[in-house]
Amino acid sequence: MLITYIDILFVLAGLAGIAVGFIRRKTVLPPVQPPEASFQEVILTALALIPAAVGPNILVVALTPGMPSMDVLTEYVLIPSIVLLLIVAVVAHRLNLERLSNRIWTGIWVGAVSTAALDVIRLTGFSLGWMPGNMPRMFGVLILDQMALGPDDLSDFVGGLYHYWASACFGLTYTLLVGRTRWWGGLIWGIIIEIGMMTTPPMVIAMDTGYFGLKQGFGVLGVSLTAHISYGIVLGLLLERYTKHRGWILRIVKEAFERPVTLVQSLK
Amino acid sequence: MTHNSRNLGRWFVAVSFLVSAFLSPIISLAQDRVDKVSAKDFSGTAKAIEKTLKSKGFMIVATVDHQNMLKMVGAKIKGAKTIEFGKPDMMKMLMPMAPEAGLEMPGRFYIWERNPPQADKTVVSYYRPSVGFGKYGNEMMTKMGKDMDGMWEMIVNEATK
Repeated sequence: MLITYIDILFVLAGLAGIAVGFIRRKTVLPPVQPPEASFQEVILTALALIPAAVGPNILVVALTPGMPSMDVLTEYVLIPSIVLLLIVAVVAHRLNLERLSNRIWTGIWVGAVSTAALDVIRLTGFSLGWMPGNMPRMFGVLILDQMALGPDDLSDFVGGLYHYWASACFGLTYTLLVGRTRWWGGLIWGIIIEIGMMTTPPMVIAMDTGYFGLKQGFGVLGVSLTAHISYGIVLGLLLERYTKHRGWILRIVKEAFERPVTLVQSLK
Repeated sequence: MTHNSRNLGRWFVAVSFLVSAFLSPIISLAQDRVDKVSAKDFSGTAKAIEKTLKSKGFMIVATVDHQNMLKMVGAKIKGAKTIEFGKPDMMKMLMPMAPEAGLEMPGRFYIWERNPPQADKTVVSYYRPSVGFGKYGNEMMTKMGKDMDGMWEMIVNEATK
């Protein structure tokens, strides 16, 4: 079977997450007044952006000629980056950095569950022969370094986890950088991710699809673009409901730098 | 008449040369390659090959599961597996003496299922080691290659019966 039961289980789990997300918050609540920015928040946000960048990019690095392989990068970069994110999340919670805590957890869970909206289209396209491969199955064999043996249940599970984690990182990056936006912000983000995916080594070199998959006709581009639009819309709709505070990263940085001055002024 | 016979003779030589040039790779491939039909099914043959190799003191170096690998890219093929194997002692002896012969190692069996109309037949294929080892002009290596021919044949015969 080309689509495995593990593929289906991941999709069902993701769709359940999406459903719960919409049922719990049917309407979009007004944004919450943002707390005062601090250096602690800026530093922890910068630290949280590292794992958010590492997640999807280790695949790009691993499939770039001359770079370390995926199993090595997983052991020495990906897993430590997840640990770092957990530490940042715990510290943010302990320091009562409400905005940062909300952005970390919302970005992760919304990013992860929204993957199901992408996968429904991706797996349909793959089973129709419009996609060059079932990518999460490849992630699994790359991470476990068992390309010669091919996939098994464990590698499919690991590959699925990585696929959902990479999407969670995209959600996290969005919430950390942009904060709360309208739903179409997620759509734009989905299209940016699509452009990134279709112009970097995993697709262009490893799958030999050429830029935007055009080496294999319009099937790859059609499926992939539709899948990322679907991901972006669901991501945007859920983030709009669950990200509490407006304000993008530069505004927070600016506020944090301005704060000591205001403090001194208030003391005077 | 003499002129005609001479022409015919030349034509015969030219055609024979062309035919032999065309056929020589095929003939040499047929001589180098052994295809042994198995009495067992695909997975039974693969297991039997692994078991027999281990029982003769060989180590499985790698297994390439072509059928499983291709599922990732949406291709469905019949059973196809390559088993690479070696004997540490043999390699320990050979590699310091002739490092260039590393190209011939480890040994390789390819187990595969035929396409229709010869379906339901599993085949074990390999190249005779003597052909590869014989290319180095080293007497000892040539002899080793010939010994391996016999060993390979024995393993495949045992595993496919």
